[in-house]
Amino acid sequence: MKFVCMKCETFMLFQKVEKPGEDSLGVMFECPQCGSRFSLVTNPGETALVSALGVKVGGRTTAPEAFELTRGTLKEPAIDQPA
Amino acid sequence: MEKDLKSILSRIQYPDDARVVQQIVDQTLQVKTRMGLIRRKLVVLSGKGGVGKSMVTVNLALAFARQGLRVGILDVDLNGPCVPKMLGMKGQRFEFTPEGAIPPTGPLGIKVASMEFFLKPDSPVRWKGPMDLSPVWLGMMEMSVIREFLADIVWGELDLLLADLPPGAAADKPPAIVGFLPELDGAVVVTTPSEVSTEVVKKSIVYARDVGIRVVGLIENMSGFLCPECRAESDLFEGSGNVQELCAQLEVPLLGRIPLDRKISQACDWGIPLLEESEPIPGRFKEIAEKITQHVKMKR
Repeated sequence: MKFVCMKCETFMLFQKVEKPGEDSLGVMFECPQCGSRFSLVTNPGETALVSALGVKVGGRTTAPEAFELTRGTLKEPAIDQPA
Repeated sequence: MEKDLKSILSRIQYPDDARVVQQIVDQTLQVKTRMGLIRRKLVVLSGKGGVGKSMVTVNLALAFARQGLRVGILDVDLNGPCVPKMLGMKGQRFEFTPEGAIPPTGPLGIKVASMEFFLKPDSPVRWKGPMDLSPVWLGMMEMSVIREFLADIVWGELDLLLADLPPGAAADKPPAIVGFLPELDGAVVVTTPSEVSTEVVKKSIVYARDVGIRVVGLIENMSGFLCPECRAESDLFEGSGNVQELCAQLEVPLLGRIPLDRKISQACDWGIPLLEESEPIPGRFKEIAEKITQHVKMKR
C-alpha cells in the first residue's frame, strides 16, 4: 500500500511508526515536495494482520530472532519468548 | 481538471521506504538459503485426514535413513503434530542459536521440526490474536509460521527433507508449501482402500498437479490386515485391490501397499519405531523407498 500526494503527483514517504494506543499503530507519511503529512492509524485487527506478516513497518535495526513470530504469538509456549 | 491516478503512477517510482517489501524479500531469500543445502524435498499429502500420512512420513524417513541418507522431517501439521510422538521425541525442544533453531535429532539421526516442540504437554496451539478476525488473521499467521519453519531451522546439509502436510487437498497449506519450497522434487500421496478416501485423493492429485507439484507416486495405507499371529494378510475394505486401477486411471505409480499391523500401530503410539527391515512393515517401506529413489534419482 502506498500513498500518493495528488497535488504533487509523487509518492508520500514513510516517516515513522508509533503506538498511539494499545494494539494500534500510527504510521506517518509525508510528501517530500509540499510537506503535507498524515498518519495511518490501525485498529487492533489491522495491527494484528500486519504483525502476522512477521515484518516491522519502518524496517529492522537487527535481524529477526529464529521463530520470533511463532514464539511471540503463542498463548502458552513451552519455551521462553524472545526478549 | 481531475488528475488521472493511473497516469501519475506510470510516471513515479515505487519506493520501499517502509522497508516492508525488503523484509519479505529477505524472508524468501532465507528460505532459499536453508533449502539450498537440501538435495531432495518431498511432501507427503492426502485428500483427507486419518489415512496415515504421519505414519508413512515417519517410516519413509526411517527407511531412507537406514540406507545411509541424511534425513529431515518437517511436521507442517501445526494443529495436530504427531511426528515427535511416533519417534519418541515428545518433550524435546529446538536449540536456539544466532544461526537459527537447531532441530532435535531422533532415531537413525533423523532431524525433526515440529510445532510440538513449542508446546506444553497436552496443550493445543492457541494464538494471541483478534478472534473477531480469526479466519483471515489465522490463515495469514499460519502461513508465516510455516515460513519460519522453512527459514529459521538450521537443517544443515540433508539428502532428503520430508514434509508431512496437514490433511486436505484444497487447504491453503499445499499451495503455500509449493510457493515456499523452492525446487520441490515431488509429492507422495497417501490413501486407503475406502472409496471415500480414493474419491478425495483423486482431487488431491489433480490439485497437486494444478499447482505444479510432481506426483511421485501413491501409497495405499491400511491396504489390509496383517494377522499378528500367522502374519497372513487379509482384506479390510470393500475397495481393497482397486488401487492399481486407480493408479492407472490417474497415471501415477503405485509405490506400495501397507497393511494394518498391530506392531506398527504400537510402535507409533509408544514412540518406539520399528527399525528392523526384517519386520514386514519396515520391509515394505524399504521397497517403497527404493522405488522413490528410482523416480527421484536420490543418492548421496
